Amino acid sequence: MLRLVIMRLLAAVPVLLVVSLVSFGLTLLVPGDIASEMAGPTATASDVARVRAELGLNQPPLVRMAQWYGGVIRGDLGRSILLNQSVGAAVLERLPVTLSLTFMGLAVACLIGVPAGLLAAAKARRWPDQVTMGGAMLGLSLPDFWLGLLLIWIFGVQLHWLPTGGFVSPSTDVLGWLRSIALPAGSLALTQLGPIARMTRSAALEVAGSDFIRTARAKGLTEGRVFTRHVLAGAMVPILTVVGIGFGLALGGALVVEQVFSLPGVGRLVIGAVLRRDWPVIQGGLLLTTCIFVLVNLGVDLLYLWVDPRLRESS
Amino acid sequence: MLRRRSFTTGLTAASALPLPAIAQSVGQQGRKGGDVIVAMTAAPPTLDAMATTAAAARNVSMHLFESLYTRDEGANPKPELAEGVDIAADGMTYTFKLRGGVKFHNGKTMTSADAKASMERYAKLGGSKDALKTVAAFETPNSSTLVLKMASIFPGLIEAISSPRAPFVIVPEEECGKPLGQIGMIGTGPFQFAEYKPDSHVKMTRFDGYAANTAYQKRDGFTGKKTAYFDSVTIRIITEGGARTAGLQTGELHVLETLDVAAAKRLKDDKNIKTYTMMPWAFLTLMMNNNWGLTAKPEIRRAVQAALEVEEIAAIASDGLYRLDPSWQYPGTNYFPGVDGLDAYVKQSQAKAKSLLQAAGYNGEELQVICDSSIKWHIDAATVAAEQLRAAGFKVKLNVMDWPTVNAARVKPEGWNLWPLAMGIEPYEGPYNVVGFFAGSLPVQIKPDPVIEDCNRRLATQLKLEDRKAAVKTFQDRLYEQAIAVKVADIGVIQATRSNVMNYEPYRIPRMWDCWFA
Amino acid sequence: MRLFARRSFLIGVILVGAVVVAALLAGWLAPFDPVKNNFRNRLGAPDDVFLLGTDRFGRDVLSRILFGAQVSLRIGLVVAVFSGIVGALIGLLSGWWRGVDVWLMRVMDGLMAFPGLLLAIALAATLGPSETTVIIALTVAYTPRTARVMRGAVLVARAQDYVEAARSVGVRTLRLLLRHVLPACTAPLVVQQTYVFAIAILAEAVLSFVGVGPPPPQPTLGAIIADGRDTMVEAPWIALAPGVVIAMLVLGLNLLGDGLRDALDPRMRRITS
Repeated sequence: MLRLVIMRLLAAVPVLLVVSLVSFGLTLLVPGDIASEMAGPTATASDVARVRAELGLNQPPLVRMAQWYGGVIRGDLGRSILLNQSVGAAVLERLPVTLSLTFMGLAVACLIGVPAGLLAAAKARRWPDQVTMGGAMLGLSLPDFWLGLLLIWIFGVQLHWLPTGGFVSPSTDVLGWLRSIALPAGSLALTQLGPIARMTRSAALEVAGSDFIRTARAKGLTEGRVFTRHVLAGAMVPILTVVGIGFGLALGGALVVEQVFSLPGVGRLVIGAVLRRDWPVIQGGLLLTTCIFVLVNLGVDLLYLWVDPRLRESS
Repeated sequence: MLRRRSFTTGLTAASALPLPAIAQSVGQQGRKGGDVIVAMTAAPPTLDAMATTAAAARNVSMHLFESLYTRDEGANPKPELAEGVDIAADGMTYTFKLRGGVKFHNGKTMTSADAKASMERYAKLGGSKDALKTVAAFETPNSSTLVLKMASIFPGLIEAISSPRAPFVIVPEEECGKPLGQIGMIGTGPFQFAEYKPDSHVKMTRFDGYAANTAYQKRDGFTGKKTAYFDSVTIRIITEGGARTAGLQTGELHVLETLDVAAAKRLKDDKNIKTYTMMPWAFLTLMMNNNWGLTAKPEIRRAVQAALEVEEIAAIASDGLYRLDPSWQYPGTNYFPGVDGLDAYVKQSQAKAKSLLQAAGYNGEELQVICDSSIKWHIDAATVAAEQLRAAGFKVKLNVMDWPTVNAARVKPEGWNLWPLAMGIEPYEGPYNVVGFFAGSLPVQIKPDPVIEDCNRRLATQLKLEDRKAAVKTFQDRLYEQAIAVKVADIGVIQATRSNVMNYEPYRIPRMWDCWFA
Repeated sequence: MRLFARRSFLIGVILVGAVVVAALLAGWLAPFDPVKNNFRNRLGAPDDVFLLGTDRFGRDVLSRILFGAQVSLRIGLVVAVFSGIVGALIGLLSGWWRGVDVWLMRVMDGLMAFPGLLLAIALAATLGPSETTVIIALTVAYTPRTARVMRGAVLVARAQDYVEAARSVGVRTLRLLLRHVLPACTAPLVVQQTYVFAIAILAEAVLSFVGVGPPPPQPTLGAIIADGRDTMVEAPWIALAPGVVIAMLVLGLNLLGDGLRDALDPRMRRITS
């Protein structure tokens, strides 16, 4: 098991190398730099040049690249020019926002999506199946940012039930946090529901078609019994995978939903950095976000192995 | 490079006796307490007040920091941390007497050493550091006196160092060695820094050790006798207009730096909300590259001038909050040159544009418009102007980029023709940074214009106001006659508060002193 | 055709068909010039002249949606085709020659490790907003998935008896790939690209919304939503209608994809989902 973990971690290294090269490449392609942002909108060229020199941005790209990789190896992702804090700290500070949004969105999506998928599978090709799958399909076809606007309009502006933006930390006010995260998580959940319900359904159907279920049926168990006892148990592993994949999707979705709701998360950090040329954040932020992606996927894989020992041997 | 030089006569007198402040409601008793939540539209690029000209930074820094001189309600220079200034007859020595008993947020009493160190730091990395170019030395004969020894005469000094563009703030001496962007947030203002969560909010708390300036009766622009009533001020960064409006409606936000015009119209009967129109707020302009491609030819620039219907551009870009005003200074200000003879240039005539194009031998080359996507005024103005130019027969390419790219592109001598810009703080300051924008080593129109260079020099060196005004008039006439740039209109903004925010007056930033919760 | 017997596929065809026809006929159907400003009629509510109202520029929203759908469809289609071609090539190389497989797949893994939209936004912002940029950014972001699907299909095809047989009798590789392997992979490829088409339309909308899409006054469905976002309360018609069109298109494409998948090869579920 440990050997496996190490192998998988090692396999992630080239992936991260590609990621960091792409991130660095982006900063080379970019015209303009942070100096103009710092100096302000009507600063003259010489003002900008002064800020650039002051910030040490005059070095050639290769030198910067060497410095950057040197830092990364020592665990130092560099310093954000705009935020005046280390990139690692900046990302970690925003991570809870993104992760709590992702978890909440995913949790709601799973709580509704998994039962819906199972229901659809149990009633395959009858009306509950068609209704839930139709709904799931519609959900995954909606633009999440548009759904966000719609929810803000309905629940924030028309009904005054929920705040329309901003983030309350759960450590200061749990209820406030729930309220602040409700709309973003809701719009995220609505769009993530679809894939989860669909994948759950196909996983359950696959299990239902397998030999041991047929045996169970042959033993004379009722359909309901067969379904709850055997199909559900057999579908656990694939459903877990579904949730794992869902996490990746939800994390990607969260990065966009943050934009609509002005949540101070990682997506806003990185997109803001791209738009304002804060290159240490672009590189470090992309690298760290991707690391998290990779780690989550790894975690899901390991969980998967833990749940289903058969796979341990084969891999 | 910007150059600001002027002999400001009468400044010494102005500094000696505080002028009457703009009339405002007084007599109401303020009430202490509460956390007021202000929404601003953009994140400050840095909180290092000296270093940036960005408006978002001013929203924060003008609460935390103060300067020797700043601007009053009518944008005139007025003393703040200084009691006044004595300017030697030869203009070579400025002696600032500092107010006594002024405390920094860290408890230390401000002395001339702090003022000196702050000015020296500014001279090194300040956003308008050219203002101090002619200063040879800063001296501190005693703990309450700062003397500026000039290397050459610069009569515009007080006007320059009182500008909030990138404010000349006084910070503790110990902070002055710190590099750009890493300075501690310690000032003398009525509020002190508490926390900054980038992309989210800045929090400030009332500074109970604040020494109000007793030379004044009440708040006056950025100076005056300031009293902080709120326990704390939280400035939240909310980039989406809809989210700001909704927040104000629900009461999550108390003060908005700007409220979208459409929303303001809808909410005008809402008893919970008060709106304040700031007009004029900025010049909406279209800058042209006089050095490269199509717009290098005056005939083509005149064709652009004739093809544009400024009212349509202004109305759409400002959502209807505009004032047609062809002048390059605000009406009613000291340097207003009038608008005589400008009608012919301002009036749209597609026929004239077409004939000018024909005369210039135009054969379908692309006019390159560059524009950023972050400021709505800019992108809307560019979009509408591009359509109007197309209608007049131009082939137009609209290149939308983000701000850093635009800023890198527009200082290049080639590759662009038209660039929309809303100039906010410069016309508020007066003529120096407006004329200066078109002069010096890298003028905005790229190709230096000898007449404008001369105007800039006259503005900086003429003793009499009349002569400096004449220079501004010549500058303005030249801009129109050579079609160097297009002034679209004056545009405004709407500030808004919840109705329970009392005694609020709109200004360049939402000032959170001298107002309170009902 | 048995495909059309499936109700969901039929619905997909109708949804996509309706939008495609409307978009193609935009030149005739649109009542107004989609970029013509009129500052005297800004934010007008829907009436009998402007069926879907007007936006901040006084432009007719219906006309903008019709032309915007054209642009969004074009972007989606081009991205689907490009990433299909590039992805197919990479998948083919990778699935056939084990030597390059390791390297190509590491690069693909690297690109896939980015959250797709974040990569696309970063690329589009970097290259400067234009239709071409959006196409490039989305192609880069979504090609790796196609390459993976293609690689899987090639591996399956490679193991087929007839391919083995053809190899053993000395059929030249290129011929083998073109004649036997590629045709066996078209079904999963087409299905995958139908989904990419749908995803690309959603992604274009996000890019335009964030402000890195094609520049104004070019209407795209996402750009129209972005135009309407600040006036969601005063003029909800601007942002609502284009969202519905996007949903129609994406839903239709997804239904088409599912229908194709089921019809072409039920076993493919495992590869594509």
